[in-house]
Amino acid sequence: MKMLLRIAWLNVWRNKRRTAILMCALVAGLAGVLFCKGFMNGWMDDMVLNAIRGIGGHIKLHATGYRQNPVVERSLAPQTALYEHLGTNALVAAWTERVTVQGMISNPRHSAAVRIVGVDPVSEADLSSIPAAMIEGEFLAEGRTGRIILGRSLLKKLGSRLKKKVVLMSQQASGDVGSGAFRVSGVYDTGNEELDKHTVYVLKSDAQTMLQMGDRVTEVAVWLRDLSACGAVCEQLRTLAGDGPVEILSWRELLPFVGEMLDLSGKYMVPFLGIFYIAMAFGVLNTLLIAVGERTYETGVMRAVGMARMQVVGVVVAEAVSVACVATVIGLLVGWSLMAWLGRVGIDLGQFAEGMSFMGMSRVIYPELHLMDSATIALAGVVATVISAVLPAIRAARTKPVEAMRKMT
Amino acid sequence: MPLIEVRGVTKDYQDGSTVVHALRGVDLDIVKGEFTAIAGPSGSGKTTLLNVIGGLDAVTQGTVRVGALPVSDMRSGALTRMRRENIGFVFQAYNLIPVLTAVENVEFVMMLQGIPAWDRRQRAEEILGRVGLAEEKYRRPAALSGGQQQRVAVARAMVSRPSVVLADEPTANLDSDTGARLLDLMKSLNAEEGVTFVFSTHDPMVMEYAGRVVRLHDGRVCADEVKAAPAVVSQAGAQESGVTAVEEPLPVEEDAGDRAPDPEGEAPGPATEPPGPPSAEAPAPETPAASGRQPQEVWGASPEDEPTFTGDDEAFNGSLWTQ
Repeated sequence: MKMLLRIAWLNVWRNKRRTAILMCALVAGLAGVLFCKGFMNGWMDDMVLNAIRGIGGHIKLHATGYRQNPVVERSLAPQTALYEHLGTNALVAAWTERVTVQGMISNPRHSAAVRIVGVDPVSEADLSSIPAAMIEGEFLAEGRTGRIILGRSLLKKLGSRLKKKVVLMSQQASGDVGSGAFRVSGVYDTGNEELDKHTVYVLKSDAQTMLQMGDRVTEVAVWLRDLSACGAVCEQLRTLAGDGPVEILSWRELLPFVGEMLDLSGKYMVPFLGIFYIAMAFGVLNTLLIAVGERTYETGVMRAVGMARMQVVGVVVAEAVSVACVATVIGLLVGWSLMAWLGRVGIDLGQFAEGMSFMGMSRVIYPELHLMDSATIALAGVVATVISAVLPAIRAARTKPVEAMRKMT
Repeated sequence: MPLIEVRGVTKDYQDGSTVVHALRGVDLDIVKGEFTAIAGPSGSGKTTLLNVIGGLDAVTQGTVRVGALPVSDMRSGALTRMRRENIGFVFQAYNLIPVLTAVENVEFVMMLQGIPAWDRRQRAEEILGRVGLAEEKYRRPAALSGGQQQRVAVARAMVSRPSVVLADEPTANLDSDTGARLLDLMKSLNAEEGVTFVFSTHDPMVMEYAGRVVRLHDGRVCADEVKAAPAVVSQAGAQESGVTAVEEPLPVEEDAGDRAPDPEGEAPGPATEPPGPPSAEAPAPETPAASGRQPQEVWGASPEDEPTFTGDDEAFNGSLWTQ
């Protein structure tokens, strides 16, 4: 067996240029597949994270019926027992109360429909990405009333700037319209156009005053340490809330489209990867057919002196496996290096991302490759190569010694 | 009893719409130890005759036996095993596997036979020394001259201890001096080991070396001239030289009735005589149980690969067990 493997290995290097070209194709294919998978992972993770950021938490507590009709009348009084549980639950990274309503922002020249979010700046800072996304001014602070934070896109749309005044309007629980003047104290840019253009932040107390809500809020947002703990924490909270007026919803219930996208993302890749593998397999098939054809006489001699057909098949398949293994190792190194670099610097999608912002795509995607993905992709590549070697191997095994040698002589 | 028995063999090729009659009723017996030249002009059927004797090509009619093996009735897998175990081949040129060194080329057939690496290396080096290539054993074929390559091919053919060596114009691509030295080597191996040599040639100089010259013309034997008695070598003498002389006839295949058509084209046409029973005179070959040795597993050489041999497998494998 050792000698047959040696023959296979030496056969691989008989035509170095051809082998090098084949290897390059396989390495490029494998690295390409790894890039696609890494990009898809990064995109999906980014989209889910953006979507969760967009709704402000992995889990939300609302008054029953708020989801169907998100109006200020359906607000929650402080939920002491639930708050105590959230404060002590190790799976919970942070939680905060918010007042979230739809409203209108305007200045003397423009107006726009926005989502007004009243936040507690201390607890919000623990779970929101907005403080870190500030590009001008500063985030809200406890006690500094009458301030508002806008996204850069919205600021541009309004033609406003820092320290300028804007007016917010929204419907109160009584049905009257509440309004308030706020001074722009900060501008943020999350890279998510959808979020930046339609969300403004004010102090929770300012929102409660403007809407005459007292100490009531419209939602409690919970941020978890681990996305996968979402179901368990939801169950704990539901058990604790019982049949009370609180409705507890996970991000998957709040964003069913995103959940579906995430589930299907792996399946989207299958035909895509299939095309890559078919192209790779045809490259190997073609090269091996040429190589086997060139060695017809030699195969005839080996068959003549007593080499069994299965041994001929074994040599050709071993050649393919040798090429596949070498190409896989190099391809993994190239792919991982590429992913490590891109994972650090990111891929700036520029205007394309703006066009896709409705799907929660950030301007910069950071590809991410999981170990299991790499193993699966590499194994599938080796399997595809071996399958592609079957036809040349059978052709070689069917070599009739006398005909092979007659052709040569 | 002849070692090789060819009876009424015809071989027709289809060349487009034309049928080429390569062999037209050849009858030939070759006894053990003969150094036989099959002579004749190009197209006389020399190579075809060697091919049908060696199981590389199927006969259209007639029977071929090597020892007790009904070559013309055997199917592809069994023929492969027969070639591996019982026949050594030397072709005109391009005999060797280019990626292997000389010593590895010599080892190749023994590797197929499942002989352990240490044993086959020892035997390969020994026989390379005998053909005068001890210094060149680690060279690849491309680094050897044509004559050296043919000597490696002879060493490979001999080292597996075959009953017969078939050589198809082994000197055709060599100059006359080199050809003469190769023939000297083959002749000395024939004399010392008693191995039967059958080679084709159209070179009168080569025919001078032969103990017997069988002349073919248009696929028929037109002359058969015996010039010297076959070499006979004692078992002891053969073992001293490291190569076992096969004094006994090859084992008889008991059941040659399973004659399904061979898809590879190596199977014969209709047989003209049924295979005989096992020879009562033939001594039983050494078996694994008797020798206390176990066969080596050969990668890829699974029974499924060669499922059609229906004879006495243990006896058939007699030459597999190393001395």
